[in-house]
Amino acid sequence: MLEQMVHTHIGDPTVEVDGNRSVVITGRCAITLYSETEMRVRCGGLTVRISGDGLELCTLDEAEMSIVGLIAEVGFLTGER
Amino acid sequence: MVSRWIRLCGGILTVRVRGAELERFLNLCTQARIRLRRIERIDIDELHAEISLYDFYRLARLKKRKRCRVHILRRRGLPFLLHRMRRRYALWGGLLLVCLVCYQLGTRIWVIEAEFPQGVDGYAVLEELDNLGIGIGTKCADIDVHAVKVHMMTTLDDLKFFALNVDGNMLFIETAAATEAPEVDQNKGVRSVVALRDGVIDKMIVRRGTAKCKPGDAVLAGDILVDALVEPKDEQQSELGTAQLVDANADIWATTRYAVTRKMALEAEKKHETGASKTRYAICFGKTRINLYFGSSLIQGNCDRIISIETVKLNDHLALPISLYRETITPYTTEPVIHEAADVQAQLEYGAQRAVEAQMVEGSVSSMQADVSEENGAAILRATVWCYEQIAESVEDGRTDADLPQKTEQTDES
Repeated sequence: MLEQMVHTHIGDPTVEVDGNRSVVITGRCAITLYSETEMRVRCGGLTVRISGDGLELCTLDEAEMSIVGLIAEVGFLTGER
Repeated sequence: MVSRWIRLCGGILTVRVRGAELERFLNLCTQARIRLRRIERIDIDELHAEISLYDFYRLARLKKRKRCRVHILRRRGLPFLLHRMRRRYALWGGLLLVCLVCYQLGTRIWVIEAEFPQGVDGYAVLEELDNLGIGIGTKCADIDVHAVKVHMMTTLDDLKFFALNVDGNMLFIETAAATEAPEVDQNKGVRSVVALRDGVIDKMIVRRGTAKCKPGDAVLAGDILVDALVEPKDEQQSELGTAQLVDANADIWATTRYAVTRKMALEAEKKHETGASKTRYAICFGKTRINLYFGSSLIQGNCDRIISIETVKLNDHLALPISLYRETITPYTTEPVIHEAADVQAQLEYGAQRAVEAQMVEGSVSSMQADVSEENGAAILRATVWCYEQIAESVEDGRTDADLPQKTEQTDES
């Protein structure tokens, strides 16, 4: 528990990947790129990049964002503003 | 699924958003806590999304900031349905009428459930309630439960307890019969205990009186088992009192024997179903029955008729005055059959046992030895039944105080 707390950084998003069908990002995020093949979501100093096919924003609110579609890759881009 | 129904109650809009900066639009919506669902990017400058009616009004205030055009593609949900039907006055009138009827039906009694134990005249109770104006269709609010209870207890002598419970639109009646005073209290005088029938005594519980027999003794019907005359047991008692007559009381358990003969005709009639069963339905509104079939309710020929009635209930407490009658009619014919004596032996033995049990005051059948024979087209059962039963019977004793043995007074002569 203590170890987990040490590795958790304040402001970082929580990314939950459910198979290759759904990704849920929890935290304050902003969309920087939105297309059917690629999505970029900025969360604090980190940008989450999701690529795939037929991507769709299922839910979008202040605290949570869920993306569905055929997900091929989930990556993190650091330093990109 | 449920959350979608809830959202439909509030109204859902499918909107098309066009603009150069759709990502910015989405981020602005997020910041303004406007919740979008099922967002679908149709083109580089177009997306479709679902939004609630409440959020759509809030979105309208953000129009200038977002640099996007929003068009409504589809409206769904209760507010739009009501808006579409706002000019259908007959529909609203009918809905209002249905609500009023349901309200009125819910305030009246439609089911009366009563339990009348032995000793209570159920017909008299229901008639008295009818005189008070309580029956099917009475308003629940008009029933003064306490006043009805007082009235029933004062009017009907055979009631020891009366309770009326109104639960929803069901009325529950509970009663208890007034029991007579115990027999022992009524017996004033001298009584002895005699044997009700022949038997061998197994157990004796003597409460008052003098035992005239002991366990293991064989007694005949009418023999005195416990005498009303109680004499002093020792010298000390003898000095204090004299012999006295009491109301003897005892339980005497004995093994008894019965000889039973039962007869049953071997020729009988057997049912054969002729054709398929037919089911008919009828609906009952209050006391009015409407048959959902043509022709008469009466049935020609022999048939079995099973009727089931189902009352329409909203829940355990609310019932509507609508009942569905279901009649299943199965026609049959009979043909004579000849049974063997052995076939009916079990039936005759059961009857013999029931007949013996009916003669006993208290007790049970221990064993039975039976023999079945056939005579003149009938099966005859001759059985010997052994029982363990209570054979004590309290009877009037003719003696009075004058019949008591006189005490001889001893005087000291000095």
